[in-house]
Parts: sequence; structure tokens; C-alpha cells
Amino acid sequence: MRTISVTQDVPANALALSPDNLQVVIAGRHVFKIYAIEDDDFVEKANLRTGKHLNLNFSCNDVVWNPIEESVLATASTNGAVVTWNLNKASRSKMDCVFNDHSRTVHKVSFHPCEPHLLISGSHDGFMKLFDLRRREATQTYTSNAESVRDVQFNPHHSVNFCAVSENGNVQLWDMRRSDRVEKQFTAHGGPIFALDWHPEVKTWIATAGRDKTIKVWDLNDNPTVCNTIQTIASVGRVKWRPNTKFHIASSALLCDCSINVWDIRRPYIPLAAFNEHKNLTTGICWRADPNSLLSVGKDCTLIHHSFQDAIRPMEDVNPAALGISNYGNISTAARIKEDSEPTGSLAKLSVFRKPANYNDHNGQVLSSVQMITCKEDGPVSSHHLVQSAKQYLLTGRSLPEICEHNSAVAKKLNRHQVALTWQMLHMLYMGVGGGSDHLPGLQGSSRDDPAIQPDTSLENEQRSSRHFSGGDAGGDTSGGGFSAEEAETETDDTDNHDLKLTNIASGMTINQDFFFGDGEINQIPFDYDNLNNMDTSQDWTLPNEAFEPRHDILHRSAIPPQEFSSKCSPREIQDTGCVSGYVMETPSLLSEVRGTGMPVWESSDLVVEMLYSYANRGDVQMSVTCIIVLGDKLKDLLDPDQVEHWFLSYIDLLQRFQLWNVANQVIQLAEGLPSVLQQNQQSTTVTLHCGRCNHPLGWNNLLCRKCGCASATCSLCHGIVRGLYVWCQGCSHGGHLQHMMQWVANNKACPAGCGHLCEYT
Amino acid sequence: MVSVISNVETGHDDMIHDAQMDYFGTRLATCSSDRSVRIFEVKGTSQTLIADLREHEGPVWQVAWAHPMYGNILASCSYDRKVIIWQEDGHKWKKVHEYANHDSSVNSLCWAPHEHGLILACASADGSFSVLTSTAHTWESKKITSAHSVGCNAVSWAPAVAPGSADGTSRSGTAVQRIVTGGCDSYVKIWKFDSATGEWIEELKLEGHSDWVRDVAWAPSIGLPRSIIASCSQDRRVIIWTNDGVTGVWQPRELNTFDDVIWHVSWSVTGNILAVSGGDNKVSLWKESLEGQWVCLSDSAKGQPSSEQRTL
Repeated sequence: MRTISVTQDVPANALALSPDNLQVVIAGRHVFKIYAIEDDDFVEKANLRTGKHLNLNFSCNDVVWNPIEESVLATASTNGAVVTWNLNKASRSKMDCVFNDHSRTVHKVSFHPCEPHLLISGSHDGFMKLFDLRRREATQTYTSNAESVRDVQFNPHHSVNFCAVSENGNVQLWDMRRSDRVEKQFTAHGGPIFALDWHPEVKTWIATAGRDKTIKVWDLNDNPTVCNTIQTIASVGRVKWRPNTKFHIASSALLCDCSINVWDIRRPYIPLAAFNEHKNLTTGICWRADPNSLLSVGKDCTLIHHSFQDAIRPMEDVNPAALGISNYGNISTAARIKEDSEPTGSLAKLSVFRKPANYNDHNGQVLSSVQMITCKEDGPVSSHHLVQSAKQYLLTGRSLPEICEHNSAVAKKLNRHQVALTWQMLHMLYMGVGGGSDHLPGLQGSSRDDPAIQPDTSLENEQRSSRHFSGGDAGGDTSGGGFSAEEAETETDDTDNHDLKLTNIASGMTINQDFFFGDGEINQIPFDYDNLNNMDTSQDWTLPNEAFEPRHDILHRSAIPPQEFSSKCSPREIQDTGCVSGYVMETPSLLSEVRGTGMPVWESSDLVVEMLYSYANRGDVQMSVTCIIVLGDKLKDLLDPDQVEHWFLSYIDLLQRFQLWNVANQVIQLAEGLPSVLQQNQQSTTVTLHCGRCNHPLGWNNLLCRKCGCASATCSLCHGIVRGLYVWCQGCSHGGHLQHMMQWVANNKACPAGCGHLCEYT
Repeated sequence: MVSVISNVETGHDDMIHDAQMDYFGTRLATCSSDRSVRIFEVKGTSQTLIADLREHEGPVWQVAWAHPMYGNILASCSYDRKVIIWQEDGHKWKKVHEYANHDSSVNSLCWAPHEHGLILACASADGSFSVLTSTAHTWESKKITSAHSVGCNAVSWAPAVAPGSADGTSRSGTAVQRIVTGGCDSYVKIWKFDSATGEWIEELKLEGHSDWVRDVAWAPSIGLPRSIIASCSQDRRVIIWTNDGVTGVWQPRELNTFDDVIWHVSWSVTGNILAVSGGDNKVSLWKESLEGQWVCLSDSAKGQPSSEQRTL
């Protein structure tokens, strides 16, 4: 049967099914109707709210249908009356008896499961009364000793017993023949209990629910114990066990939550199913003796028949797997523990509720295991090489070839051959004709940071370099050098250009003359000439001593005050204005010595840029950024500054993730021409002061701690506050005014605070 | 997988739904059906529990670490319809904010790139998603209703330095805020924050999946000007959406059809490796080859690394 609903004008408080489950009665303050449940509709059968005087007796808190006599109903009225109704009455009003025994609102009525004339009620006055419909009077009164009885229900398995719950959080078990004393009583909840339900099959189980948002399942043996606790998100108003299922129970909330949840008591955290059809709070729920058919009424004035297959299944939508990747390449995953696995830990503890017989996917205790998959150093997501490279790469401080050599060695050591080759290529490209043996002593001398790497690989690198250089020579395009236009304009004159061209022609190279810009110093030309000749003729040329790359860029790498960046000056202006460098470790002699020979022999910049993009695209932003830093302004005009800035920021972020603060700082410092990156270094560093006694943060320039009232720094001698210089012993941390301390140590050896430390103030 | 696998004794009483490591990779946060969030300090293969956070009243679906420049902040979302933001104060973790403006379970959450500020997006089963912005003393929220019919399952932020400077957004700080969401209507939707009106507007609707979208992940942008989004679905497929930043068109490419429902996709920090985890408890790693094909690097269930040459 599918989900159907009917809407009235007024909300109902309760509903009850006829014994044959074909009719349903709903009752509220202003409604009292019987509907027949058809296949796809509710059909109104009777409206019991008729008669001349619609007094408060018609205003119902609860309604029950006699389980044996189909024509008898009982309601609990808001005015304290318990009213019975007989549908077989000839008159228009079906009202039968009115019992006015309670002094306050009646919350619940309940028929005896097999004696049709017995009815029990629970009222806000704290009493329960047993009515005999044949004698038309209340025969017994049971005292709850609580303010209010919220629910009362006969034990379906042992019908002389009934159970009552009250607002003080107590559960009472009564024998209905003994009104003088309660048989058993225990405190079940921390607040009012609003609902209870006997388990239809397990004779000793009851479920209680209350304002503390929990549903508890109790085993009523000699010593009642909690079997399960279900935490819901709102005060629970009603609970009903699902028929034919041992562990399922439906609940509706009194506040906040409009949905009806069906719980598996072994999975107390998430409902098995939820019905969200009600638009307002659900006031009454009732299973139609069928685990797949639930009726409910709500404050939204609707009566709904819910079909279980239409329910939302939060438990099935639950994400069973988790996944996270850390920056170190560690992967954390969580997965359900397979059911055939050994119960361990808390699972074993709960094994009482593991019933292998009816155990299936969705109604058992389910646990997950979390695994950390730690990547090996050469794993695909490992960051080992990134961290190591970041630590070992040289960014500045030496000549370009040295840096390239060094970085190449680093990459090689980390088994990153492609990167190593790239460094070697760069070495070749930007040194002109790099890698001669004359260069070696210098290289070794400068490799003090990394004595282990450098010597044993440098020779090999050189061989490699030459091989690759020749390859590049053969295949690459041979156009002019890579100097910036700026230099060409300022330092080159026509004669030099002419001379250069002549040399080139003389050497037989096919050089595109239009793009060739030489440097201006005539005395350089012989070297060029040699180099070009060498290139032209053979591969086993030797390197002139002078073939160092000039490090122009170093000079421009200046520590410029932040104000200048905020004023949005262009990189060129920065170069002009701020030539006072923190990095003037280069000797000027080196600079002049090597000027001019460092031009690439063919126009490779485009390729290099392409290479940078390619690395970045493959997730190796480290390579791109490192290259940009190392190559300095050689690529300046060829790169999109936004893109470069993006790379820098990404790389800095990465470094910070690995807590490589020093490297990150160095990269920031070397981010030439990228004001927004450089600014990162100049953002304020905060120093916070805390009180030495209570650890409370001190305000700016505050000498007294606001919390404990103590002075933050007192003199051990005069106990006054020290302003200005504070001298203290690093051994025992006592100290004070400089003058006082000087006086003290002139005459004493021990600490002025009396701690026994032999302070030495020098 | 080329790896050491170590089990974490979480002590959770029920199914674990998320396990996330923080910015520095030194802390692990887990959350479970048992309503608790737990934080572990990870050192090598050992973990120590440093916090057990119990404020949620329902299963906790996801946790997310904020960028450490805002402090040690963790957000969690739960079936109880709440989002809780936790902060470490001294050595104590405490709740600093609770957001309870959703009408149904909050399924997913994601912190914005730190460049935008301390902003959290959360997706709910009520079909809406919310954006919570931390101001000086309070949290401002903006709820975008009817984002996905039936429910919104996943949310992920675009990186702050938006690739594709076609719309002039490349400079950080002025970058357009974008969010990708996935929902039960099997769509993946891209949302853009219109700073003129202060509203989130639906920019694009990507159709490709045939069942509920379970997770979406916008790749970190390190590299060329293109955007990549991975989405996975109940239909057992993972789709990689690529936008070259020039045409503005999102090209779908199906990664693979798996044997089981795929629950999570997650990018590595450098954005070039995708981890995929499914209902069959398998985790596989994928990487785009130079030819533009996505190849499986390793599969945790198979236990064997692939022979592909690693060039990273």
C-alpha cells in the first residue's frame, strides 16, 4: 500500500486503529473523526464531534480503540475527563460515559489487552485510575508520587501488570490488583518521560523516551537495565515498536523535528528510515500491525499513511568510506570493517547484540577502521623529493652554472633524472659553452654545503652536459642571444654589433642577425670568437675560465622597504632606486670579468618558458619557481607576471605546508619583481607578551597583568617594576634593574632572589 | 600501493565517515556515526588522541581543517543539521560557532581558500548550501536554497588564484569566488559569487552523471591556466571536468567506471594526482599522462604498484 494522506482544518493530537486495522480514529482539541483506510485513500466514516454542547469533554489529548469490542472508544480530555464512546449508540452523539475523577488534564488512556471493560488513565494530577466500564466507575487509584503521569500502558504479555512513566523521570511497574504499592520503580531519564512502549515480542523490554532527547530500551528483569540508548536530535514525544522486527522502533519528536524516525536500536546514532511527509510536528504514530505500514497525525492537520518503501533511508545513504591525502602523500582512509572480521575493541563489547541469525547489511552494529597509508619515498604522491629538493636546492649566492650543477646533482640523487637533465640543459643554455674542466676547481671550492653530492657527480655531469649541448645545437634553432633589450640599448653600439656579426659570419654559423644583440665590450669578442669556433668545429672544446654567467640579477635583489611596494612601483623603478642589496656577496670583479659571454648561442628562452609551463602543469611548481629564481631576469619579459606570481604563491604555500619556513622565506625574498609576493615578508610579525605567572596575555606596553594583578617583571632586589633594561640570569631567570644587579653581584655570588643559584653576571 | 599501511585505533563506536589531515599533515581528524569528532596527532605511523569532541547530536559526516593562518580551526557537519566550528585554545578544543539553519542533514563542508578569508561552505540534504563568513566577532551566513533538488551532497571551493584570467580575475585578492556542488539531481553545478549584488549565482550546470553525485573536488591550481574538477557518483563513475580557461567550456572525461559506488574523490596537494575511494573499500590513485589520458597509478586492493615510470 502506498503513502496516502488526508488533511483536515484542525490538528489532531492522537490516533488509534480499530482492532481489525481497517479504520483509524483521530482526536484533537477540535477534531474527532473516524476514517476507513482504503487502498489509496482515507474515507471519512464518522464525525464524533457532534451534539449541541461541544464542551471540553470533546477536546482530546489521547484516544484508544478497544482491542476487543470494536464499537468502544475512549478518550482522554484536556479538562481531566475520561470519556468513553460507543459507536453502536442509536443517538447522534456517541458519547457513553464521562468519568470526572481526575482533577487535571488526562494525558493517556489505555485499554486492558483482554478485559474489554477495563480502562486505565494517567493524568497531570499525578494519579492513575482504573475504570470499570461495566460498573461505570473508577475502581482503583494508583499514586505515582510525581507531578504528572505522561504515559501508561498495560503489559501485553502479562496483563495484570501495567507500566507508567512520569515527569520526574521515573518508570513505575504496577500490579493492577495492588493499588497500595508500586511493584518496581526506577529512574530512567534525566527529565520528563513522555512516552513508553512495551516490546510486542520480547516480554521484558520496554522503550521509554523523554525530554532528554533519548530513547532507552530497558530490560525489566529483577534489576532493570538499559539495553540501548538512542540519541535523537529533539525531545521525543512518541515511541512505537515496529511489528515483526525485534530491533526496530519508530519515534516522533515533540519539538523541532517534524519527521518520524525508525531506529535500529543496535545502530543508535542514525535512523534506519525516516518519514518526512509531515510539514509540522508529528503528534501521534501507530503501526498498522504491519512493519511496512505506519499511520501518523501531525500539527499540520494531516493524517498520513506511510509506506515503508517510501521512507528515506539515511543509513543506506551513509558514506561508508573516507579519504584524505596529506601533503606528505599519506592517505587516510576509513572503511567499514567487513562483517566476517574478528570483533575487536568496542565491537566485542557490544557483541551481546550481535545476532548472527538475522544479521544483514543494514541492521547490525557497524564499525569502521581507519588506515593511514604512508607513502614510501618514491611513491606516486610522496612529497619526499619535494621536501628534499627544497632543502638542498641552491637558489642564489653562486654563479648560475654552479647552481645548475648543484641542483642537477640534488635531483639526480633523488632519482629525478628528468629534472637533473633539465638543470644540466639550463646550465648549458645559459652558460653559452659551459662545463669545461677548468671550471672544476672553482666548483668544488664552492660546494661546501654539499660535499657529499658535488664531487662525485660533477665529472659525470660535465660529460652529460656536453652530450646534450651538442644535441641541442643540432636540432635547435640558432638565433641570437638572450640579453634583455635594456642592456642592448644602453651598452651596445653599432660598431660592436657589426663586429659581432662579422665574427658570426666568419665562424660560419647561420645566425639570424636581426636578433643578435651583443654586449658592448670589445675585449670580450675574442672569447666569443673562440667559443663560436669551438662550437662550430667539434664537441670537445674546452671552457675558457671566463665563461661564467654574470649575475646581474643579484644586484637588483634588494631589500626594499615595504612602503615602496605599496606605492605600486614597477620592477624597473625598483631596480633604479634600490640598489643597496642585502646580497652583495658577489665580488664586483667576477661581474666584470665574465660580462658578455653568458649569452645563449641560440634563442632558447621560448623553449625554457615552455619547459617551465610544462613542469608547472605536471604539478611540479617547485621546478618552475626554482628555475625562475635561478635564471633571474633572463626570462623576465617572456613570462606572464600573473602566472609567475601564482607559481610563487603556490610554491610558498607548499613550502609552508611542509614547515620549511626558511626556504619559504628565501623564496619570498627572491621573488624579484613580484611585489605582492615580496610583501608577504613585510607583513607584521607579532610578538605577544604573556604574564609569567598566569599565562594571561599582556596588552601593549602593559607592565601589570590584568588577570592576576602581578607585575610582569619585578626586580629581585627592590621588588619594584622594571622599566627599560631588565637583566636576568639565564641559569635561574632571576634578575632586575641593571643597577641593582650590578651592585649585588659586586658583593655576592648567589642569586639575589635567594634561589641558591650561583649567578654569574658579567 | 607503494606504502606502509598502519591502522589507526580511533576508538569510534560506529562507522567512520571522514578522516582528514590538516594543512601540515601532522594531525588527523576523524568523525563517526557515534556523534563524535576525534583529533589525532600523527607522528610517523603512531597516532595519539588529542581531542574527543562531542557536541553533535547526530552522526558526523565530514570534517574540514581551516587554513592555519586563522588558527587551529576545524569544522564538522552532522545529521543533526548543524555545522560546528571548533577552535584550539591553548590545548583545549572548544566550540566557537554553531550554525543550525539547515532543515536537514548537512552532508558536506569545505573551507574557502585562505585568500578569501575565513569562509566555510556547507551543503545540506535540504537541497541548499550555505556560505558562512567569519567577520570580526560573528559569523555571517548566506543560504542558497534550491541548489539541488532532493539534496546537495558535496561542495568544494575553487582555488583562489583562478586560472583562466579571461575574466580578469587572475590577481589574487580580486579573484572571483567559485564553488562547485554536487547533488541528488545528478548535476554538478558551479556557483559564482557576484560581488556587485553580494549573491551567489548559478554559473554552470554540468550534466554527465546518471545518479546521485556523491563528491566533487576542485583541483588545487598549481600550474597552467586551466581548472579541473573531479566528480564521482552513485553511478560508479568518476568524471574529470576540465576547463582550459580560454573557451570557458568544461570538457568531461570519464576516468573510469568502477565496480562499486564511488564515495570520494580527493586531489593531492599539487593537484596532479587524484585519489578515488569507493564502497568496495578500495583506494586508487590516478594521474594524467602526458597524452592527456588518466592512468591508474596504484590500487590499494591490488597491492601492486604499477610499473609506470614516475616522472614527478
